[in-house]
Amino acid sequence: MKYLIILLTVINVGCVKDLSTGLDFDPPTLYDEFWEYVDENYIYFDEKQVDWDSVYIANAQKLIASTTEEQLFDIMVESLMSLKDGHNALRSPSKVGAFYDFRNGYNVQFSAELIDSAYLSAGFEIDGNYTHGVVADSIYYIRIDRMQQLHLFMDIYRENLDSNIKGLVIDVRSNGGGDSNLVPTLLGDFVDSRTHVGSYIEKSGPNRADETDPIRVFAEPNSQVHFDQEIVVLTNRGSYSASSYMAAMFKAIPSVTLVGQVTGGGGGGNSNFELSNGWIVSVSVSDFLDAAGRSIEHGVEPDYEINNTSERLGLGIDDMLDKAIELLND
Amino acid sequence: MKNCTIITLTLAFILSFSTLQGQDNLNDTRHTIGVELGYAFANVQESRFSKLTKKIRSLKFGINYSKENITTKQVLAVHYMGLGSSQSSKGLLFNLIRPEVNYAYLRKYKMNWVGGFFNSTTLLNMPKSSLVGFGNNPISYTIAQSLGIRLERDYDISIKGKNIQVSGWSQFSLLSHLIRPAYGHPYPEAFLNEDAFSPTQAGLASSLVKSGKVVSVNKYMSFKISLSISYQITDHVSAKLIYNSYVDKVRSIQPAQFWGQDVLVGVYYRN
Repeated sequence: MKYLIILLTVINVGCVKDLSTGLDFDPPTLYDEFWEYVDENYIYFDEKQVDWDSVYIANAQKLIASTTEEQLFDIMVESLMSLKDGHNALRSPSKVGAFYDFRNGYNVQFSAELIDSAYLSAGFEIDGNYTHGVVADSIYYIRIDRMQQLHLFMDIYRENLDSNIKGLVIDVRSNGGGDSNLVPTLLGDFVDSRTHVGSYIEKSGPNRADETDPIRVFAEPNSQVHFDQEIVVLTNRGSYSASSYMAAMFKAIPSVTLVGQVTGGGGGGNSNFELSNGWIVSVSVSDFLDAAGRSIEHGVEPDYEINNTSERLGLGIDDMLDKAIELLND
Repeated sequence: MKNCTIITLTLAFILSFSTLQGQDNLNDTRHTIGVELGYAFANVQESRFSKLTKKIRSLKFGINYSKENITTKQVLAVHYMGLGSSQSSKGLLFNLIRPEVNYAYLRKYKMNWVGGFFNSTTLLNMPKSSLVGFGNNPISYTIAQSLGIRLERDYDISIKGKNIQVSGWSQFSLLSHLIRPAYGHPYPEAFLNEDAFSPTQAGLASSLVKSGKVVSVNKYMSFKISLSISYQITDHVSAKLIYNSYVDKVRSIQPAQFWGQDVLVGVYYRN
């Protein structure tokens, strides 16, 4: 028995050895770790048509043992930027890099102050991330600044969508995202029957083709609450991530019209991974498809494309909101 | 699959043999119950989250019950450790909870105890970071129910009329029911289906159970070794100093490894 215990102890101690890692700084090794994690987890290589192997070849040759932390950080950020994904990022204890600006090439003009002063002049309330009130007599307006506490959003429209209100404007312009998980549930208040509102695709392994089939998500009709008012969702290129999800899911509802600019996209859910020097790399590992099966990574197209201009905003006119009011009054 | 069958039949043989032979001397049965408290030191590799090995320190406590006669012994032990923290990196801190239940049925063979065990261990990891809030992979879990073999040996020593018992045991899993997250995100595989999936994560618990797989040691290995010195304070009360060392290892696309060592002190009452 004692020999067995000695033998097992030796085996056990042997297992300890491969656990000994530390905070090392070896630029080529760190770049390999970084590149490999992105290679095995990023979901949009085909969508973005990026040759990740070429990115490795181009950057690995820049790395030498004397490469500084700052240089390595910049090389990794440059690699991530080639993917043009606002969810991708690299973080060290001293800085954050690689947030791709999805608004590039778009004229994003939006003024919450103008809406509050000119369109909600009869009065408005602010509850959490939500500013709401009546515009144009019988149209209810709710602006969502950040996709959080969506149960509060449900409370607001349930309290205010009475028979005197003929339409609802949901404004997610310049909304950078947050949590959209409750959207299919709240859409149950606006549908008569089970409605397909979008699909998720998740990475299922390290190879490019390792993805789940689209997992459809449905809005189930709420037997307790039902609204049949027309809805306009306002979007612009600053509507990103969860607010793009929301726009895509609302678009699947027959009573909803999207007005404004194509959203910023951001269909990916991101995961984080720590490299062996303590830096954290984040990349998109899941995709969201609208009800028609299109990825929303590049944005959700509006039904009516309207662009605000700084000149018109200066005159006190929000053309997107005016179009929404016009549609709901028709 | 052939390996699994052989292992299962071996286990069944060991356990049934122990059960059949364990009915002797029931009148001499002794019951012992005790509490244990101490400190655990662990190294954790969780490749879903990090390239680094995290060092965890945590309080650990447990309850131990055994029933023993001269031919058979049954031991039920429940242990818990949690509130771990990493000292390896400022990037990502591992927060762990590790409850464990272990039941062993042993038969005396010459001077040794030989038998099988059932072990249920959950390793729940909820990392946090001052650099970033977690996204699609905020949690990892390794839930394993294992069957395996256990060997045990006790030595009784008398020093100046005081009874001291030195004990050692080791156990090695052969077959396990293992639940791990699917690749890249916290969901179990059974949740990633149209009829099961919900963005609000409703129904996740039942999918967790359905996602379990029976695996042999090439996929999940659990090995433990324990050494202890017990001192008889009175006829019914004893105290024990215990050292445990154990490894839980998941071999998969995203491997994980937990290697821990405990130093515990226990107080026991025996009828």
